[in-house]
Amino acid sequence: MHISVKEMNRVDLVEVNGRIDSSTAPELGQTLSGQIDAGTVNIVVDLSGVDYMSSAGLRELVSALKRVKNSGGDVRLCNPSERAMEVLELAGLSSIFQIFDDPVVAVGSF
Amino acid sequence: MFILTDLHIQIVMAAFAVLIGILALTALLNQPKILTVRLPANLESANTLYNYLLAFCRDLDIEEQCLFHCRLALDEACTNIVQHAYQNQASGTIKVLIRYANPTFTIVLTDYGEPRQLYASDDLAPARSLEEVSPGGLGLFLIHRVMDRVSYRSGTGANRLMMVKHCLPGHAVTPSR
Repeated sequence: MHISVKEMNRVDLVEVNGRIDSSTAPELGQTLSGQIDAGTVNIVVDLSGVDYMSSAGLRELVSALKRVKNSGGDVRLCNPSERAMEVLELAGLSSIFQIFDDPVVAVGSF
Repeated sequence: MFILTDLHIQIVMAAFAVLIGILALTALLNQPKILTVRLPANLESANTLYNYLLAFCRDLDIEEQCLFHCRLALDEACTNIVQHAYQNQASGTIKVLIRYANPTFTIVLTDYGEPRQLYASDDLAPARSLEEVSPGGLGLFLIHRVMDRVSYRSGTGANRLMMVKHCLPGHAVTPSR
């Protein structure tokens, strides 16, 4: 898994590529926590490069969402791959996140 | 009046021979394919299992959706064993059996750690709001969503999780639940 973070004015764009499972999800969690600890409350997570995501990945996303919601922020998802989207839907979480097709639109939504 | 000649008998016998040949070929093609593997109980083993599954399915006519569901269930089950049965201690092992008899996958994971409570599918419900989302139980919930039958049994020092998935051609994209 590879993660890159682009810090913008009011939003951080976190691009994730590869596989998010129980062995890699902690890295995603640490990245999101690090950004939140640094004061970011608006985060877009680009999942277009994620070819597989298990419940471990969902937990990290939900955990980050709960943290920023408490501070009036949001975690929004962008362009999830077909498999990532299916896991979100299977878990009943697709309605909990705002999901966008385009990172520009997702970032602009804040 | 019909007269049974040698030619008639030969035709009937040839038809029988063809029929028996077809039945034998069908039985041969439907022979179950089985893989058993024993892995160390760690989180990396979930991905190792996926590689085994991919190799296992290479010459099978399996739709990608079904393969994905089996991968997800294997991953979640393996993670559950590592984190809960063995509580992340590295000394445990997981025995895995994957059986495919067209069109059904049967996957059995056996561990020798702590027995745990795996809820019946009826006890699991999707979250409706962020407040309802609980970090625990999500993996088990996904297993029940993607597999057609799930059973769990503990006894004589071993815990056995069996998951069954039917991979019919044109199988519904949305798993039943």
